[in-house]
Amino acid sequence: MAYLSELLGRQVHDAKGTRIGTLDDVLILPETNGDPYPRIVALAIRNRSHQPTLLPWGGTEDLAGNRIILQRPSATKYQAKGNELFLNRDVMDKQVIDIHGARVVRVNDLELAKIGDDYRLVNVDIGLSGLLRRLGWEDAFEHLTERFHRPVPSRSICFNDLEFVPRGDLKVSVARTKLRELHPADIAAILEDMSPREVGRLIHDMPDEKAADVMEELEPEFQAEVLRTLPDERAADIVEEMEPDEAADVLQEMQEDKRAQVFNLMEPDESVEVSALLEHPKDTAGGLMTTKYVTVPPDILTADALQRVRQEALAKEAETIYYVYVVDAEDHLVGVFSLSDLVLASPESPIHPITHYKAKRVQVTASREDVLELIAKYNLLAVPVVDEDNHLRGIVTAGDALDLILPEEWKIRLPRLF
Amino acid sequence: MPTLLRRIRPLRTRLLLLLSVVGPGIITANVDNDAGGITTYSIAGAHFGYSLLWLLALVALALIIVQEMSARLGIVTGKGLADLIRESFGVRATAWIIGIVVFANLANTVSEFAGVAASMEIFCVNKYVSVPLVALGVWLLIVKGSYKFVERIFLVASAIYFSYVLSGVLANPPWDKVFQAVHTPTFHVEAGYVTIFVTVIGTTIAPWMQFYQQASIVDKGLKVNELGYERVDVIVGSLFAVLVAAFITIACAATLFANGIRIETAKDAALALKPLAGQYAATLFALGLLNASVFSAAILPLSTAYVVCEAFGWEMGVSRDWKDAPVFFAVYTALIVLGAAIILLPIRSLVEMMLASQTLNGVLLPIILIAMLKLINDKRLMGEYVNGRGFNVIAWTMVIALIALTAILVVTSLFPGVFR
Repeated sequence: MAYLSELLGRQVHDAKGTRIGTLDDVLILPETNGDPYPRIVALAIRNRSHQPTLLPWGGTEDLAGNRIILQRPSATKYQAKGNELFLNRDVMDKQVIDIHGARVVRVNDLELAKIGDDYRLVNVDIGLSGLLRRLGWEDAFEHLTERFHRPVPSRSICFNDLEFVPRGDLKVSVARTKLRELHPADIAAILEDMSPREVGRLIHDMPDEKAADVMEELEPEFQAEVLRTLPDERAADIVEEMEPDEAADVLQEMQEDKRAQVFNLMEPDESVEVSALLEHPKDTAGGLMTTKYVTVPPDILTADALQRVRQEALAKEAETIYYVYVVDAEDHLVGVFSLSDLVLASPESPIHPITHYKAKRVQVTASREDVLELIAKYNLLAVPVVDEDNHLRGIVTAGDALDLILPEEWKIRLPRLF
Repeated sequence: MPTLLRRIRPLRTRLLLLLSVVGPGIITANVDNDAGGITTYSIAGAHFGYSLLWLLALVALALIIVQEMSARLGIVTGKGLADLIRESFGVRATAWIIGIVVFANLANTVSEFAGVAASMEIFCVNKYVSVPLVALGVWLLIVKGSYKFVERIFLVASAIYFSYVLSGVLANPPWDKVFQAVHTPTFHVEAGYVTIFVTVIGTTIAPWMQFYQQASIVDKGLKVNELGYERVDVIVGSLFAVLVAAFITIACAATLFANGIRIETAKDAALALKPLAGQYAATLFALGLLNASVFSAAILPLSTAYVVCEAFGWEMGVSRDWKDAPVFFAVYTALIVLGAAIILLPIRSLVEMMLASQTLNGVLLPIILIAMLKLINDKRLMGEYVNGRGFNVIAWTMVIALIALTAILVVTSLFPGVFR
């Protein structure tokens, strides 16, 4: 077992004891699929020449001693494939994402160990002990902590649980797929630790739908900063996939010129929906509501109503189907019934008996406090939003309302310094 | 109540919109004129008259160069300065550089609390009351997370600096002499003079500014094609900061130096505002100093906590709690507590305290500049955006001049009269 920090700068000799140079970097190939411990493929060795020479890893070298001895130094140089990772240049000291811990950490050291005949990268040290080792303060601290009977916290992760934070100088394309498998809320929690540009690059690599799901979990202000870093076309694609109310929120946060460009590039039916929401101030029922809900006409049978819920829910990507709103031909809100009442009612009966005709509703201009109060007081999953003439304009779901009352720390991604 | 809110809101929105146009360069430059800055420029004017104005002209150029590099680093790499230092120089060098920054920022925080104490003394509030209260207030402000809104109030309030411009004009200084001083370099090797020299440079181009500005540029997610816009922001901000500095110096030279008054306490420095505010000069000065001090007393510890955590990869952010980000809050709290506690010690002169911290800034500045120059000339990081040759020549000349000045400062303070 050896730490990269201790190996770098060591003398490299051949079997006869002739000095070849000093160790400058260690190369691995991350692409070896499924292998949790990537194998060393080459060493970068610096001698007097300006550029370090790449020597292929023979497999017989021993890294444990004070000097690295290449038993059979190859006469030919290593032919770089272009997707190698230089451990010192690309990984050491860099910010990486700890997938399991769902956070951004910094690499303090890299641990190489012999598995079979090969040396492999086994651990990525992200703990305090790695930091202290590199500062040369390890002994002093161990002395201290022994007195207090508390060990120096050491933490490390496996290379497989690591994802790279995108950056300009990392030319190697490391497939960024592990991150995508996490829940959007977890991804968002990680992204909040990064700069908008880095987030933009990560989002850029995701499919539109996933990108939109992740974006919705971020604060609108931060969303706007991230979208700023994306090309307009791509930003529009992502905003389209977002729920209309979330899309309206982020558009409101954007600068005027960017907003206009993104808005114009959106599919017409999506942008119409969003623009309807944009008319309303952000903290009113109109600003909170979504237009994706299910409606039925007043005089149909339960079976038909159920059929309609199935179709509409899919077609409209309804945010909730637990409430079905009854509207007349002019979109006036007549009443509401719940999905459970609908399922339990006999198929041949009309919907009239299960419909609540005095459904609680709010005006588009109602304040968010009014909306919250109504939802809380009547234990609603969603509340319909109507205009002065009782036209149904949208609904505010309990989930969206909940976002308003969550403790601030949960929600706010505070600006870093300002 | 709701109707009142409804009426206030549009006004607030418009104000915020206006301020959102203000870029990182202008904000940083505004924070630059903090307690230490005001004190330094006041003393430069009161004790040395117009003779240091030529230096301010050079400092303006240097400030633009340094802040432009910081903006370029931030925009091209999308990373903060502490981040880049760690990734490029490794753990050991990072520990040294960050250690120095923490030390300099602590000194600055001390000077901000000195500013709080000095300004509140004008209102006859004892420092044992004012300093702990402000320290607690500042600490809560960040921990409770209402900082962003308050920051804008601070920014608007820093318009008080304009009173120096007005006062400087109303004092009717001999303009021909002023203009002559701007392009007549004078220098003599004497401890007091070299000190104020280094101090003026150190307070105007403080090490924390580069970290702060770069971080705000990264946070804004500015792109490479916006570099031009950001350069304008940096140049306008730097010129504004130095212009205010120059007028503080002029106002003090015209009112204090002309009458042979030396600045012993903050009250003396307030006299510079007399041509504008008359008998209210002291009040106006105290308000300006208090605003500047509290503003920076909030920013410096926070910025330091970010720098430390960014460099070493610890969890950070005001949105976390003590358990998740212990180092972040420890650094932040320690800086405020230490900064305030040092001021509560029996100190002879608050003014000297503020001055000394800015001298320290000047002494430590070359180290940060060397790190920045190494980073910005790194082709792997910056690609085609590395420094041009002319730019490098000017920047390195600046670094060497600063080191030389620091050396002279150390020698003259240790062995006064050695150059005579």
